[in-house]
Formats: sequence, structure tokens, C-alpha cells
Amino acid sequence: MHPTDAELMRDAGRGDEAACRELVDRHAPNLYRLAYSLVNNACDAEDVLQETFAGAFGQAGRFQERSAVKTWLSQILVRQAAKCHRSRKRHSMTHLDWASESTRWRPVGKPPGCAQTQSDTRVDVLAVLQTLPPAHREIVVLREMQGMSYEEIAAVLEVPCGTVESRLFRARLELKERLKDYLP
Amino acid sequence: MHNACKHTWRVSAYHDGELPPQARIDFEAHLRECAGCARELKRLRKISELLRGAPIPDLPAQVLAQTRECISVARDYSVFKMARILTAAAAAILVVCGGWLWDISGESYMPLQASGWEQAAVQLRVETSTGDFQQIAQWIVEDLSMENGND
Repeated sequence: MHPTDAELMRDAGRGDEAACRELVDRHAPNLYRLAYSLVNNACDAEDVLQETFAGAFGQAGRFQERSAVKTWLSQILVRQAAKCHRSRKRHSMTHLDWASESTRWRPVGKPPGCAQTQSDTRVDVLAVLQTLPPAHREIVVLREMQGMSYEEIAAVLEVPCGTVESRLFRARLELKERLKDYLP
Repeated sequence: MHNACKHTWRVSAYHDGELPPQARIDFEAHLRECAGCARELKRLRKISELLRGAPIPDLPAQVLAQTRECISVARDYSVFKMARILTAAAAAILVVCGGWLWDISGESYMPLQASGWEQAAVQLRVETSTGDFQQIAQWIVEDLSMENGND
């Protein structure tokens, strides 16, 4: 019988390395995708992932099972990704980076009349995500790419469900504006 | 074009399946009559399709292996860090106790004020005359009387 995540986290808090490795094997693939969605490059995603697990196992004794382990790990990862963004923003700003929030965003996409390929669309979407304010980017990624419910998102971001709904609504307004070339 | 309908804020929650059952039924009835909200819903569905189709790579096997390795290193580092903290605390306690002991040991060497006859007895020379011994004896008697409360 396989131990539950909560049991593994308890063992991890007692220094059981096998329990830590099992948790990594279970959650790393999904957490990597979450990290990549938030930071849009493999190098930072790797760092964020490793910092997340290092932080989680360092605080394993403080995990109180008020939420699922997946939610708790996602919480830590979202904070690490935000830290990564702030650090990246301080160190470099190029036109390929998202650079800042909505005030300096430039529309992406080819001029009208120019054929848009499927691969162009995908690249544009990822780049557009990076131009959103951090709070909007996080909520869109958690909802659209992680498929989390409002309740789960509220637990990860530690905000009320009503805030999730209104923040997602405003994030989608921004996305609609930036992706208007691709929408009906 | 921005949808001016007052129900537009519900489109997002409806699209996510987060409306309560009755609210969902009511909104579906509204959608049949409101072209603005219907268009809004279509746009949200397209946005979701674009985002879900974004090329997010899978976790590379090497990164997984490195992450597992990092756990051991991080745990060793945290144990080492705790050892450093405890050692520093122990050293601080030793310094404080050492300083306290030094301070109180200094006080014990302060000499008590000797009484008159004791000071004289210490300074007494062999050649001292009988008169001096009588004076010393008187001092002793006076000192003992004071100790017994007979002044």
C-alpha cells in the first residue's frame, strides 16, 4: 500500500530521505510545468523547482496538513517564482523579456495580412503571459494550465475565493486585449 | 469591443464551471438572449485553448535527478547550519558565565575593615613596652563589649 502525501511529508519532517525522494518523484513533473509557465525559461524553472523542494523539506516539520501537500508545494513554488522574477527584473531587461507590467507592454503578433502559423501563436501566448502583472499571471497559470478550481487557487494564493474570481476576470480582460488578433 | 451587459462578470465564472447550480441555469438562459455575453464566452474559450496549447516542456530526467540530489545537500546544509547556531549559542553562554565568574571572584578579594586593636596587633613590634599591651587589652575589651551590645 502506497503511503499518502501527508504521511510522506511527516516522515520527511523526521529526516527520512526516502520519503523526500518519493515526494519529489510524485510532484516534480507537475511543479516543473507550473514553474516553467510562470518564468518561461528552463534554467529559471529548474532553480525555482529545486528551491521549492529545498524550502519545503526544510520546513517539513511545520506542515500542518491544513491543505493538501500539492497545494502547499504550489504555494511555495509561486513565491519562489515571484522572487525569481523580481531578481531577474533587477538584473536585466531586454526586449525579449517581459520587462515590466502592462504600462510598457508592446503588442505581439504579425502585421495584418501576414499569415500566422500555429507555432507563432504558441510563442506569442507564452510571451504575452510574461507581460501580465505577477498577480494576474499567477492566477491565469493556476487556472488555465494547472486546471485548479477557485478553491484550490484561493488556498495556494491565500486569498478569498471572491478575490480569485474578480482577479481572474480582470486578468482575462487584459489577455483579451493583448490577444485580440487571435480571438473571434 | 467591450461587452456592456451587466451580467458580463459572470461569463468568467460560468466558463470555469464555478457558478452555483441555480446561478448557472439562470446564466444559461441569459446567454440564449445576450449576444454580447455569448461572444464574450466564445473569446474566453479561445483564450483557454491558446493557453492550454502552449508548449510547456516536460521535466527532463537530468533535472529530476539533480533535484533529488539537491535534497541531500540541502538537508546536510541545514544540519550544518543548526550545528553552527548551537555552537555559537554555547560559546555566548560560556563568555557570559566566564565574565560573571570573573566579576564575583574580584569582589571576594576586597579586604574587610579591621578593628583598631587588630591593626595595632599586626603592627606590634617585639620591643613594645608594657603600656602598649595594656592599651591593646583595653581595645580588645571595648571591641568585645560593642559586639555584645554593651556600649
